Amino acid sequence: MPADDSVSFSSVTVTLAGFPALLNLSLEVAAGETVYLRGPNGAGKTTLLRTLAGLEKATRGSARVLGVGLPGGERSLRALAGMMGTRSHLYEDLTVAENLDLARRLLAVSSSRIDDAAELFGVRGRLWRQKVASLSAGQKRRVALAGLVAKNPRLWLLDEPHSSLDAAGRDLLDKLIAEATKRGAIAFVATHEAEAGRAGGRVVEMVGGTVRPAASGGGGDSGPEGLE
Amino acid sequence: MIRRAWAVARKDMLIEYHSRVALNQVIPFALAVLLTFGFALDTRDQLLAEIAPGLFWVVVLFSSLYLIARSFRVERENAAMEGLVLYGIDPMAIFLGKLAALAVQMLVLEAVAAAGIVILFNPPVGSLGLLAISALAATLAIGSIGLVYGALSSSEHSGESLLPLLVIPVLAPIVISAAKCWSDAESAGAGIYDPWLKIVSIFGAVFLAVGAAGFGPAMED
Repeated sequence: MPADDSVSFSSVTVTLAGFPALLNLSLEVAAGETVYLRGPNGAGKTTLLRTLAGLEKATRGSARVLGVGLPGGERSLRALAGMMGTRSHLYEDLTVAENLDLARRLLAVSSSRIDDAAELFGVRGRLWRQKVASLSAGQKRRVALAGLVAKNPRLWLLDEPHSSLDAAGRDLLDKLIAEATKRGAIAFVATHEAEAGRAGGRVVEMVGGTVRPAASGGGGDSGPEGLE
Repeated sequence: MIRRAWAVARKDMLIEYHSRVALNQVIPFALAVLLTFGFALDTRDQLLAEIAPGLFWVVVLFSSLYLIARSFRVERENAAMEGLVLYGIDPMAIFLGKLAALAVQMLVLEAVAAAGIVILFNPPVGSLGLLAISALAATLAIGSIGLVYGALSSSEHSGESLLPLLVIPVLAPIVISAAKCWSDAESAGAGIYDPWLKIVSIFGAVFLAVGAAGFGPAMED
């Protein structure tokens, strides 16, 4: 029985419009791990992230994510997961301040927590009163990340997180992921970057909707155990 | 849940405040339709007064479809609805919040369209109470059903063009009974015990319940 702070997938299949986007996927991830998902387009990386976020339902098999059983517990899981996909989840017609204020109200967190997160990603200054529609892709990414950090999720789900970010933004995000996993959070990072995992974490190669054992990262803290 | 529903409603009202779509596009559209009918039938005053109730609710229904489609268009941009879902909030809170914001916009639209009807077509008004209560019940019914079908048709695959096809047949009874209420409200002895008001109220309550129950599954679909 996995601990309540781990992730355990057992022969999970997720079918999207009749197509098995994940196929008999089994995976064990312990608390504090960073998992880099790599693989060609269509390998199932994004579907895995979305299933972990409770956005897709397992059609076969079962999983336990942070103590939540899948299928069935998707709604509970959403409150624990923080996902940043390829889209920002921001409202174009609202300002940066209004988007983050919405996050504050829905998360029921303090204004200072939102302000600190916005400050961290450099969106508290001149961008604060700007409509999201007028921001660049990288700036939108920073606003979305500020919301994610304010949520302080136990499960970080990041799809190509470095996309559109400048070097400082990438370093900051990597630092935040490292800090979160040190506190016991789990991070899944879908990426095409060849150097992903070299500084630590586990690399999982995906192909055809499932995972195959891969070499651990250079400074990795774990091998491919648990992969089938 | 109420706090989160308020956050969603506030967000939708802020979007309208910034974009002014209802104010600058939907209300002018409603007035343009009324004007068109006014010009087309301008020599037949009696006919204008007779068709005014039905025309009012048809205009409100069509204009509301635009508001409903718009309400989901902003959720589709950047997959914002998915962002809402990822806060782990109850779909009922999203439904109530979006319904509140939509109802406010619809009531403003109805007030302006009603003023237009009175100015252009000059129908008699015997009971404002009957008009107001029936409008409120019909607004909640149109909004509730509109949100369910809006959520169903908001996927990028089906598109907004599906919304009128799905909604208009379902809402026909509410439009007919609300128009009958207005017709009854024109007579001097009309009041809130009007039989058509009972029908509108029942439809309002049933559609609100159906909307509340159906929105979550429609959104998750």
